Amino acid sequence: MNELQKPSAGGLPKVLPVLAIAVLAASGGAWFATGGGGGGDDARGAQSSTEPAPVASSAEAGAAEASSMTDDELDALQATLERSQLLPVDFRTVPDFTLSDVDGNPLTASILDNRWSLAFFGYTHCPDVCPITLSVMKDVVAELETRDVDPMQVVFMTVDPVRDTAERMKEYVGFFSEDFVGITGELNDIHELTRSLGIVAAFTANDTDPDNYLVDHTASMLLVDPERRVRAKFTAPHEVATIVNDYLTIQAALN
Amino acid sequence: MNRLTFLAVSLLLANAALAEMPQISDARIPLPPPGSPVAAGFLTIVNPDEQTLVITGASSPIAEKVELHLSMVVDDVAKMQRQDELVVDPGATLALEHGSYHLMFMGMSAALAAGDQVAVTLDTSAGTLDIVFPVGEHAAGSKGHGNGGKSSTSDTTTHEGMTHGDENQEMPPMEMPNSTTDGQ
Repeated sequence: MNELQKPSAGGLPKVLPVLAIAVLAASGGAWFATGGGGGGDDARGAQSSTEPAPVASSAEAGAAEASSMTDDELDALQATLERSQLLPVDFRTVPDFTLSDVDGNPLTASILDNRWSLAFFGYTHCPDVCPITLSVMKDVVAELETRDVDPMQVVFMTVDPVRDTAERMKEYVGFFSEDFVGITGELNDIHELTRSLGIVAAFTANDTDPDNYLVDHTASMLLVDPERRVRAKFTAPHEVATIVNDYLTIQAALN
Repeated sequence: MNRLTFLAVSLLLANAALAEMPQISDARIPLPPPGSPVAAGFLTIVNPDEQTLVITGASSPIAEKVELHLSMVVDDVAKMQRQDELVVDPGATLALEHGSYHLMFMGMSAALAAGDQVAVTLDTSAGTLDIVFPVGEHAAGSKGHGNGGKSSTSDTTTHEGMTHGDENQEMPPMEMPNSTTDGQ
Protein backbone atom coordinates (compact mmCIF):
# COMPACT_ATOMS: atom_id res chain seq x y z
CA MET A 1 0.00 0.00 0.00
CA ASN A 2 1.26 3.39 -0.85
CA GLU A 3 2.44 4.90 2.37
CA LEU A 4 3.10 8.27 0.92
CA GLN A 5 1.46 11.23 2.54
CA LYS A 6 -1.71 11.98 0.65
CA PRO A 7 -3.61 15.25 0.52
CA SER A 8 -6.63 15.12 2.75
CA ALA A 9 -9.20 14.86 0.01
CA GLY A 10 -7.13 12.49 -2.10
CA GLY A 11 -5.04 13.03 -5.22
CA LEU A 12 -6.47 14.19 -8.44
CA PRO A 13 -10.10 14.91 -7.45
CA LYS A 14 -8.98 17.62 -5.06
CA VAL A 15 -6.47 18.95 -7.52
CA LEU A 16 -8.83 18.93 -10.49
CA PRO A 17 -10.41 22.36 -10.03
CA VAL A 18 -6.99 23.74 -9.31
CA LEU A 19 -5.61 21.95 -12.34
CA ALA A 20 -7.83 24.17 -14.40
CA ILE A 21 -6.45 27.21 -12.64
CA ALA A 22 -2.93 25.89 -13.02
CA VAL A 23 -3.37 25.34 -16.74
CA LEU A 24 -4.72 28.85 -17.05
CA ALA A 25 -1.92 30.11 -14.87
CA ALA A 26 0.66 28.29 -16.95
CA SER A 27 -0.78 29.74 -20.11
CA GLY A 28 -0.91 33.11 -18.46
CA GLY A 29 2.64 32.65 -17.27
CA ALA A 30 3.79 31.70 -20.72
CA TRP A 31 1.94 34.65 -22.17
CA PHE A 32 3.41 36.95 -19.58
CA ALA A 33 6.89 35.53 -19.97
CA THR A 34 6.84 36.03 -23.70
CA GLY A 35 6.16 39.70 -23.27
CA GLY A 36 2.41 39.83 -23.01
CA GLY A 37 1.19 42.96 -21.29
CA GLY A 38 4.11 44.97 -22.53
CA GLY A 39 7.38 45.76 -20.87
CA GLY A 40 8.19 42.28 -19.69
CA ASP A 41 10.50 41.34 -22.48
CA ASP A 42 12.89 38.46 -22.12
CA ALA A 43 16.40 39.31 -23.11
CA ARG A 44 17.66 36.51 -25.33
CA GLY A 45 21.40 36.47 -25.15
CA ALA A 46 23.12 39.08 -27.21
CA GLN A 47 20.00 40.01 -29.11
CA SER A 48 18.58 42.02 -26.29
CA SER A 49 15.21 43.60 -26.81
CA THR A 50 15.09 47.30 -27.34
CA GLU A 51 14.27 48.94 -24.08
CA PRO A 52 12.01 51.98 -24.15
CA ALA A 53 14.56 53.97 -22.13
CA PRO A 54 18.17 53.26 -21.22
CA VAL A 55 18.52 51.78 -17.78
CA ALA A 56 21.03 54.44 -16.74
CA SER A 57 18.38 57.12 -16.97
CA SER A 58 16.13 55.47 -14.41
CA ALA A 59 18.44 56.28 -11.58
CA GLU A 60 15.62 55.74 -9.15
CA ALA A 61 15.80 52.02 -9.93
CA GLY A 62 18.11 51.71 -6.94
CA ALA A 63 21.21 52.31 -8.99
CA ALA A 64 23.88 53.85 -6.87
CA GLU A 65 26.02 50.94 -7.94
CA ALA A 66 27.28 49.47 -11.15
CA SER A 67 24.19 47.24 -11.46
CA SER A 68 22.64 49.82 -13.75
CA MET A 69 24.00 49.13 -17.15
CA THR A 70 23.30 50.40 -20.60
CA ASP A 71 22.15 47.97 -23.23
CA ASP A 72 25.61 47.93 -24.76
CA GLU A 73 27.17 47.13 -21.43
CA LEU A 74 24.64 44.36 -20.89
CA ASP A 75 25.38 42.97 -24.34
CA ALA A 76 29.11 43.06 -23.68
CA LEU A 77 28.65 41.28 -20.37
CA GLN A 78 26.31 38.74 -21.95
CA ALA A 79 28.95 37.85 -24.50
CA THR A 80 31.28 36.79 -21.71
CA LEU A 81 28.80 34.45 -20.06
CA GLU A 82 28.92 30.72 -20.70
CA ARG A 83 25.29 29.83 -20.49
CA SER A 84 23.30 32.32 -18.42
CA GLN A 85 20.99 34.89 -19.92
CA LEU A 86 21.25 38.36 -18.48
CA LEU A 87 18.04 40.25 -17.99
CA PRO A 88 17.41 43.98 -17.93
CA VAL A 89 17.47 45.35 -14.39
CA ASP A 90 13.75 46.13 -14.57
CA PHE A 91 12.77 42.70 -15.91
CA ARG A 92 11.03 41.43 -12.79
CA THR A 93 11.17 42.17 -9.12
CA VAL A 94 10.04 39.36 -6.89
CA PRO A 95 6.74 40.48 -5.38
CA ASP A 96 5.95 40.21 -1.70
CA PHE A 97 4.80 36.78 -0.76
CA THR A 98 3.92 34.77 2.31
CA LEU A 99 4.65 31.10 1.89
CA SER A 100 6.03 28.45 4.20
CA ASP A 101 9.47 27.26 5.15
CA VAL A 102 10.34 23.63 5.78
CA ASP A 103 9.33 23.93 9.42
CA GLY A 104 5.88 25.15 8.49
CA ASN A 105 6.63 28.71 9.55
CA PRO A 106 5.71 31.72 7.43
CA LEU A 107 8.34 32.76 4.94
CA THR A 108 8.33 36.07 3.12
CA ALA A 109 10.28 37.68 0.30
CA SER A 110 12.53 39.26 2.91
CA ILE A 111 14.71 36.16 2.66
CA LEU A 112 15.94 37.61 -0.61
CA ASP A 113 17.09 40.90 0.87
CA ASN A 114 20.76 41.84 1.05
CA ARG A 115 22.08 38.69 -0.59
CA TRP A 116 22.23 37.00 -3.96
CA SER A 117 19.96 34.01 -4.43
CA LEU A 118 19.63 31.35 -7.06
CA ALA A 119 16.09 30.01 -7.16
CA PHE A 120 15.01 26.71 -8.63
CA PHE A 121 11.43 25.49 -9.08
CA GLY A 122 10.67 21.78 -9.02
CA TYR A 123 9.02 19.04 -7.02
CA THR A 124 9.98 15.92 -5.09
CA HIS A 125 8.17 13.46 -7.38
CA CYS A 126 10.75 14.42 -9.97
CA PRO A 127 13.27 11.56 -10.12
CA ASP A 128 15.79 12.99 -12.54
CA VAL A 129 16.07 16.74 -13.13
CA CYS A 130 15.42 18.04 -9.62
CA PRO A 131 17.80 15.84 -7.60
CA ILE A 132 20.51 16.38 -10.19
CA THR A 133 20.04 20.15 -10.18
CA LEU A 134 20.11 20.35 -6.40
CA SER A 135 23.18 18.17 -6.34
CA VAL A 136 24.86 20.46 -8.83
CA MET A 137 23.91 23.43 -6.68
CA LYS A 138 25.48 21.80 -3.67
CA ASP A 139 28.75 21.52 -5.57
CA VAL A 140 28.41 25.08 -6.85
CA VAL A 141 28.02 26.49 -3.35
CA ALA A 142 30.96 24.46 -2.10
CA GLU A 143 33.14 25.80 -4.90
CA LEU A 144 32.03 29.39 -4.40
CA GLU A 145 32.90 29.19 -0.74
CA THR A 146 36.53 28.81 -1.75
CA ARG A 147 36.35 31.99 -3.78
CA ASP A 148 36.29 35.57 -2.63
CA VAL A 149 32.74 36.35 -3.66
CA ASP A 150 29.36 37.04 -2.09
CA PRO A 151 27.88 33.71 -1.06
CA MET A 152 24.99 32.37 -3.08
CA GLN A 153 21.77 31.45 -1.30
CA VAL A 154 20.01 28.50 -2.90
CA VAL A 155 16.23 28.54 -2.86
CA PHE A 156 14.19 25.52 -3.93
CA MET A 157 10.49 26.18 -4.29
CA THR A 158 8.08 23.38 -4.93
CA VAL A 159 5.51 23.84 -7.67
CA ASP A 160 3.64 20.85 -6.25
CA PRO A 161 2.86 21.92 -2.68
CA VAL A 162 -0.10 19.53 -2.37
CA ARG A 163 2.26 16.56 -2.24
CA ASP A 164 5.34 18.51 -1.14
CA THR A 165 4.44 19.40 2.41
CA ALA A 166 6.88 21.21 4.69
CA GLU A 167 7.83 17.89 6.23
CA ARG A 168 8.66 16.33 2.89
CA MET A 169 10.55 19.40 1.76
CA LYS A 170 12.59 19.44 4.95
CA GLU A 171 13.81 15.89 4.39
CA TYR A 172 14.34 16.35 0.69
CA VAL A 173 16.10 19.71 0.68
CA GLY A 174 18.01 18.93 3.85
CA PHE A 175 19.58 15.94 2.12
CA PHE A 176 21.44 18.31 -0.18
CA SER A 177 22.21 21.06 2.29
CA GLU A 178 20.86 22.42 5.54
CA ASP A 179 21.53 25.88 4.13
CA PHE A 180 19.26 25.52 1.14
CA VAL A 181 15.96 27.31 1.61
CA GLY A 182 13.01 25.06 0.87
CA ILE A 183 9.72 26.77 0.20
CA THR A 184 6.22 25.37 0.05
CA GLY A 185 2.81 26.83 0.81
CA GLU A 186 -0.73 27.09 -0.46
CA LEU A 187 -1.12 25.98 -4.05
CA ASN A 188 -2.73 29.23 -5.16
CA ASP A 189 -0.05 31.36 -3.49
CA ILE A 190 2.75 29.31 -5.02
CA HIS A 191 1.28 29.57 -8.47
CA GLU A 192 0.54 33.26 -8.15
CA LEU A 193 4.23 33.76 -7.44
CA THR A 194 5.48 31.50 -10.22
CA ARG A 195 3.13 33.18 -12.67
CA SER A 196 4.43 36.61 -11.68
CA LEU A 197 8.00 35.46 -12.32
CA GLY A 198 7.23 33.86 -15.66
CA ILE A 199 7.90 30.42 -14.23
CA VAL A 200 5.98 27.57 -15.80
CA ALA A 201 4.34 24.98 -13.58
CA ALA A 202 1.93 22.72 -15.40
CA PHE A 203 0.32 19.57 -14.09
CA THR A 204 0.17 16.57 -16.39
CA ALA A 205 -2.33 13.90 -15.47
CA ASN A 206 -0.86 10.40 -15.40
CA ASP A 207 -3.33 8.34 -17.39
CA THR A 208 -2.62 5.15 -15.49
CA ASP A 209 -2.32 6.59 -11.99
CA PRO A 210 -4.05 9.81 -10.89
CA ASP A 211 -2.01 10.19 -7.72
CA ASN A 212 1.27 10.00 -9.56
CA TYR A 213 0.80 13.01 -11.76
CA LEU A 214 3.78 14.73 -13.32
CA VAL A 215 4.59 18.42 -13.26
CA ASP A 216 6.25 20.28 -16.08
CA HIS A 217 8.35 23.10 -14.68
CA THR A 218 10.76 25.74 -15.86
CA ALA A 219 14.24 24.32 -16.21
CA SER A 220 16.11 27.58 -15.69
CA MET A 221 17.15 28.94 -12.35
CA LEU A 222 16.63 32.59 -11.54
CA LEU A 223 19.41 34.75 -10.12
CA VAL A 224 17.93 37.33 -7.76
CA ASP A 225 19.96 40.30 -6.51
CA PRO A 226 19.98 41.82 -3.01
CA GLU A 227 17.06 44.02 -3.97
CA ARG A 228 14.85 41.15 -5.08
CA ARG A 229 15.39 41.88 -8.77
CA VAL A 230 15.66 38.96 -11.16
CA ARG A 231 18.95 39.63 -13.00
CA ALA A 232 19.64 36.46 -14.95
CA LYS A 233 18.42 33.04 -15.96
CA PHE A 234 20.79 30.12 -15.57
CA THR A 235 19.63 27.74 -18.25
CA ALA A 236 19.83 23.96 -18.56
CA PRO A 237 21.86 21.82 -18.71
CA HIS A 238 23.06 22.75 -15.27
CA GLU A 239 26.75 22.15 -14.80
CA VAL A 240 28.88 23.13 -11.84
CA ALA A 241 31.74 24.86 -13.66
CA THR A 242 29.42 26.80 -15.94
CA ILE A 243 27.28 28.10 -13.10
CA VAL A 244 30.30 28.99 -10.97
CA ASN A 245 31.96 30.89 -13.80
CA ASP A 246 28.85 32.79 -14.79
CA TYR A 247 28.06 33.70 -11.20
CA LEU A 248 31.59 35.02 -10.72
CA THR A 249 31.38 37.03 -13.93
CA ILE A 250 28.02 38.53 -13.04
CA GLN A 251 29.11 39.31 -9.50
CA ALA A 252 32.15 41.13 -10.74
CA ALA A 253 30.08 43.23 -13.12
CA LEU A 254 26.90 43.89 -11.22
CA ASN A 255 27.75 43.82 -7.57
CA MET B 1 39.72 -24.98 -46.18
CA ASN B 2 37.36 -26.83 -48.48
CA ARG B 3 33.92 -25.62 -49.33
CA LEU B 4 32.10 -28.01 -47.07
CA THR B 5 34.11 -26.96 -44.05
CA PHE B 6 33.62 -23.37 -44.94
CA LEU B 7 29.88 -23.93 -45.20
CA ALA B 8 29.76 -25.77 -41.91
CA VAL B 9 31.73 -23.10 -40.12
CA SER B 10 29.55 -20.38 -41.64
CA LEU B 11 26.40 -22.13 -40.52
CA LEU B 12 27.80 -22.56 -37.03
CA LEU B 13 28.74 -18.91 -36.86
CA ALA B 14 25.38 -17.87 -38.27
CA ASN B 15 23.62 -20.00 -35.71
CA ALA B 16 25.72 -18.55 -32.93
CA ALA B 17 24.96 -15.08 -34.30
CA LEU B 18 21.23 -15.65 -34.04
CA ALA B 19 19.50 -14.40 -30.87
CA GLU B 20 22.37 -12.30 -29.59
CA MET B 21 21.24 -11.27 -26.16
CA PRO B 22 21.21 -7.61 -25.12
CA GLN B 23 24.31 -6.47 -23.29
CA ILE B 24 23.59 -4.52 -20.17
CA SER B 25 26.12 -2.31 -18.45
CA ASP B 26 26.41 0.57 -16.04
CA ALA B 27 23.07 -0.09 -14.34
CA ARG B 28 22.71 2.34 -11.44
CA ILE B 29 20.31 4.22 -9.25
CA PRO B 30 21.66 7.51 -7.93
CA LEU B 31 20.85 7.78 -4.25
CA PRO B 32 17.45 9.44 -3.91
CA PRO B 33 16.93 11.98 -1.14
CA PRO B 34 15.38 10.48 1.99
CA GLY B 35 11.63 10.41 1.85
CA SER B 36 11.76 10.68 -1.93
CA PRO B 37 8.71 8.96 -3.33
CA VAL B 38 10.41 8.15 -6.61
CA ALA B 39 13.79 7.10 -7.93
CA ALA B 40 15.42 7.03 -11.34
CA GLY B 41 17.26 4.06 -12.80
CA PHE B 42 19.82 4.34 -15.57
CA LEU B 43 21.71 1.81 -17.67
CA THR B 44 23.26 1.20 -21.06
CA ILE B 45 21.85 -1.42 -23.41
CA VAL B 46 23.61 -2.72 -26.49
CA ASN B 47 21.59 -4.73 -28.97
CA PRO B 48 24.05 -6.90 -30.89
CA ASP B 49 21.24 -8.83 -32.57
CA GLU B 50 19.82 -8.41 -36.04
CA GLN B 51 16.36 -7.97 -34.59
CA THR B 52 15.13 -4.77 -33.05
CA LEU B 53 15.01 -4.98 -29.28
CA VAL B 54 11.87 -3.63 -27.67
CA ILE B 55 11.65 -3.03 -23.94
CA THR B 56 8.03 -3.04 -22.94
CA GLY B 57 8.15 -2.75 -19.19
CA ALA B 58 9.97 -3.21 -15.94
CA SER B 59 9.28 -4.25 -12.39
CA SER B 60 11.05 -4.40 -9.08
CA PRO B 61 10.23 -5.59 -5.60
CA ILE B 62 11.19 -2.20 -4.18
CA ALA B 63 8.48 -0.30 -6.04
CA GLU B 64 4.77 -0.64 -6.74
CA LYS B 65 5.56 0.00 -10.34
CA VAL B 66 8.37 0.93 -12.66
CA GLU B 67 7.61 3.10 -15.65
CA LEU B 68 9.69 4.00 -18.65
CA HIS B 69 10.16 7.75 -18.99
CA LEU B 70 11.87 10.30 -21.14
CA SER B 71 13.14 13.54 -19.63
CA MET B 72 13.39 16.51 -21.90
CA VAL B 73 13.71 20.26 -21.81
CA VAL B 74 11.53 22.00 -24.35
CA ASP B 75 11.48 25.79 -24.52
CA ASP B 76 13.08 25.96 -21.08
CA VAL B 77 10.48 23.65 -19.55
CA ALA B 78 11.56 20.36 -17.99
CA LYS B 79 9.11 17.61 -18.77
CA MET B 80 8.81 13.88 -18.41
CA GLN B 81 6.93 11.74 -20.83
CA ARG B 82 5.95 8.19 -20.05
CA GLN B 83 7.02 5.78 -22.76
CA ASP B 84 5.08 2.67 -23.69
CA GLU B 85 8.27 1.06 -24.87
CA LEU B 86 11.92 1.66 -25.56
CA VAL B 87 13.37 0.58 -28.87
CA VAL B 88 16.96 -0.39 -29.55
CA ASP B 89 17.71 -0.91 -33.22
CA PRO B 90 19.93 -3.77 -34.38
CA GLY B 91 23.52 -3.02 -33.51
CA ALA B 92 22.55 0.10 -31.63
CA THR B 93 23.22 1.26 -28.09
CA LEU B 94 20.60 2.93 -25.94
CA ALA B 95 21.76 4.83 -22.88
CA LEU B 96 19.24 5.49 -20.16
CA GLU B 97 20.78 8.50 -18.47
CA HIS B 98 20.14 11.83 -16.82
CA GLY B 99 18.20 14.18 -19.06
CA SER B 100 17.06 11.34 -21.29
CA TYR B 101 15.38 7.97 -20.96
CA HIS B 102 15.18 6.42 -17.51
CA LEU B 103 13.31 3.94 -15.41
CA MET B 104 11.08 5.63 -12.88
CA PHE B 105 10.45 3.70 -9.68
CA MET B 106 7.16 4.74 -8.13
CA GLY B 107 5.41 3.84 -4.93
CA MET B 108 8.58 2.74 -3.19
CA SER B 109 8.16 0.42 -0.27
CA ALA B 110 11.16 1.69 1.65
CA ALA B 111 13.88 4.27 1.45
CA LEU B 112 16.90 3.24 -0.57
CA ALA B 113 20.33 3.28 1.02
CA ALA B 114 23.69 3.68 -0.63
CA GLY B 115 25.05 0.28 -1.58
CA ASP B 116 21.65 -1.42 -1.87
CA GLN B 117 21.47 -3.88 -4.72
CA VAL B 118 18.08 -3.43 -6.33
CA ALA B 119 16.65 -6.28 -8.38
CA VAL B 120 14.94 -5.15 -11.55
CA THR B 121 13.27 -7.25 -14.24
CA LEU B 122 13.06 -5.81 -17.74
CA ASP B 123 10.40 -7.20 -20.06
CA THR B 124 11.78 -7.25 -23.57
CA SER B 125 11.28 -8.79 -26.97
CA ALA B 126 14.35 -10.90 -26.21
CA GLY B 127 12.83 -12.25 -23.02
CA THR B 128 12.92 -11.10 -19.46
CA LEU B 129 16.20 -9.72 -18.20
CA ASP B 130 17.04 -9.71 -14.52
CA ILE B 131 19.41 -6.91 -13.70
CA VAL B 132 20.88 -5.67 -10.45
CA PHE B 133 21.02 -1.92 -9.99
CA PRO B 134 23.39 -0.74 -7.28
CA VAL B 135 22.31 2.36 -5.41
CA GLY B 136 25.02 4.99 -5.54
CA GLU B 137 26.67 6.89 -2.74
CA HIS B 138 25.43 10.27 -3.92
CA ALA B 139 22.68 11.84 -5.90
CA ALA B 140 24.53 12.02 -9.18
CA GLY B 141 26.08 15.27 -10.29
CA SER B 142 25.84 16.37 -13.86
CA LYS B 143 26.22 13.99 -16.75
CA GLY B 144 29.87 13.35 -16.15
CA HIS B 145 31.35 13.84 -19.58
CA GLY B 146 33.98 16.50 -19.45
CA ASN B 147 32.34 18.95 -17.11
CA GLY B 148 32.80 19.92 -13.52
CA GLY B 149 30.01 17.85 -12.06
CA LYS B 150 30.42 14.59 -10.28
CA SER B 151 29.85 11.58 -12.46
CA SER B 152 27.56 9.00 -10.98
CA THR B 153 29.51 6.39 -12.87
CA SER B 154 32.77 7.19 -11.17
CA ASP B 155 31.05 7.40 -7.81
CA THR B 156 29.47 4.00 -8.06
CA THR B 157 32.48 2.35 -9.61
CA THR B 158 34.72 3.69 -6.87
CA HIS B 159 32.47 2.59 -4.09
CA GLU B 160 31.33 -0.65 -5.63
CA GLY B 161 34.88 -1.91 -5.90
CA MET B 162 34.83 -2.01 -9.67
CA THR B 163 37.86 -1.03 -11.64
CA HIS B 164 37.99 2.72 -11.71
CA GLY B 165 37.13 4.07 -15.11
CA ASP B 166 35.75 0.80 -16.33
CA GLU B 167 32.49 1.79 -17.88
CA ASN B 168 31.51 -1.40 -19.60
CA GLN B 169 31.85 -3.91 -16.87
CA GLU B 170 29.31 -6.66 -17.21
CA MET B 171 26.78 -6.90 -14.45
CA PRO B 172 26.51 -10.14 -12.47
CA PRO B 173 25.24 -13.07 -14.52
CA MET B 174 21.71 -12.65 -15.70
CA GLU B 175 19.09 -15.30 -16.03
CA MET B 176 18.18 -15.61 -19.68
CA PRO B 177 15.56 -18.32 -19.84
CA ASN B 178 15.05 -17.95 -23.55
CA SER B 179 18.66 -18.11 -24.47
CA THR B 180 19.62 -21.13 -26.50
CA THR B 181 23.22 -20.24 -27.13
CA ASP B 182 25.97 -19.39 -24.78
CA GLY B 183 28.45 -18.11 -27.26
CA GLN B 184 29.15 -14.65 -25.85
